[in-house]
Amino acid sequence: MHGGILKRNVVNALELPKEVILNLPFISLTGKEELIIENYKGIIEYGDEIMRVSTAVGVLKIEGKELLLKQLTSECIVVTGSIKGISFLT
Amino acid sequence: MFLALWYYLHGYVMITVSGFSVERFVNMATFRGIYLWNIQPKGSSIQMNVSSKGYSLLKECAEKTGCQYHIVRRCGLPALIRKYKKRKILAFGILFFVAALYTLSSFVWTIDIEGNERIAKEDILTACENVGMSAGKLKWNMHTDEVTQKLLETFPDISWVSVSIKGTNALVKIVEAIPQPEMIDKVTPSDLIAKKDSVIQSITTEAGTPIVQSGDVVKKGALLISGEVIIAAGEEAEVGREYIHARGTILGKVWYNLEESVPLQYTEKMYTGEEKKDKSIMIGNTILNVIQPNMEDSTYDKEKTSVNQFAIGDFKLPVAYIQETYKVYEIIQKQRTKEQAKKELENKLKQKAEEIAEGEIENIDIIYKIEENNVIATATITVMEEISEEQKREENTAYENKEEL
Repeated sequence: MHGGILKRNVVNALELPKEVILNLPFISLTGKEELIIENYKGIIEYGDEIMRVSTAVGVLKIEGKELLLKQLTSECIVVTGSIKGISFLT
Repeated sequence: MFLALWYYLHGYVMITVSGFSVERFVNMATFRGIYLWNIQPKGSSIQMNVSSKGYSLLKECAEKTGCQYHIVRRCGLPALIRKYKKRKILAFGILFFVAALYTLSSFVWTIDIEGNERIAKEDILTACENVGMSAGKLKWNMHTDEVTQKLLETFPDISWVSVSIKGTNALVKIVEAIPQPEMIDKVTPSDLIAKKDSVIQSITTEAGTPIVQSGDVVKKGALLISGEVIIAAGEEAEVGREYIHARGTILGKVWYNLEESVPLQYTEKMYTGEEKKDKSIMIGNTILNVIQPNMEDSTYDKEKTSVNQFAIGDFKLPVAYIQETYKVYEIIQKQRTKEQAKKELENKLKQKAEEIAEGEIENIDIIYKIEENNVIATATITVMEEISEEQKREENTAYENKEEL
């Protein structure tokens, strides 16, 4: 579990945005062609079929074809291409 | 989208990064606030775009992570400008184009007039020209208020004017005043008099005292129906006189004399069928005619066959393509018989009679005379016409036929 139990309870009770308070990654997927990861830590591996991004809850593995880092800023990553799967490697 | 435009305007650099750990390089750059986009693997290295500003900060990241980077090319507007800076003529061309567009669009090229029915378009255009609004004049020198004022002053028939200049078009919108119906005056004391010399055929009186009878010969200006009514009591005694507006219909026979002549020998144009075409271009009002057909030895008629006005959409350009045809003819002496001449004269006289007659033509008498080479016809036309005319009654109005009263 990320964050203390008390903090988690407070966030749940007040319905606060978790990605902000608990520093969790916010991942949104549009179809299978665009993936936006906010609140990430860094890129571990980069290729056009496999991409690994470290986040606060572990390493996020993105598999797909012709992956392209459309945008890269300190807040978010935008990955385009045809995404086959995303999984957390803890 | 907007970010891309922003970086396009500020310029960006496309680079390839190679080395042991490109990921670390990318991470480091990102945490230093350098914006990277379109990152894609290119063989063993990775290609990416970085803003020109961020590019200067990359050196440190590369040194720390042990990566090498190379510029593929510089993109964006600053790079484009740098590229085209050397091309002076192109720059001059762009400037010239903009200047030409500006100057040409600061003139008024066409004036359209809408809503005129009774007033001629040419009259309005001349009135506009007097205040300085005509095709080919500078837009800035035209004052729509002045034109409006001027048009309202010159044409009392106009009740509303709007002048607007849109692009190179001036539009004059006009609303004409509705003409006032003529009032039929039934009150003012007046008489009916004859407007022509004639013989009265019938007289119908609606109001007033009839002075003439049918069969009377009247001269122009003679009193026909008087507005004076004698009020009588009983048989003879005159009680008083009243002045009213005389009304009635008086038909009279009127004679006209006409004369026509037709020569027995005459000349006529005979087209030989030979035609020559002439093409020219008209710009504004000047005609550019480069090649003209040689017509020195022959007589000819010039005829405009077609005028093609060039236009872009609805906008008419002051350029037209004109085609003209030169028809060659020969003059031929012809002879007509007396009978033919008489027939021709009759037709001519009939036509003329219809033009001058104001009523029904009753009879045409034609007398022919032959003089040298001409046939002369004298016609007497009898026409049934309404001959009355109103005249306001004044105290001292005197009539020629007063004595006859």
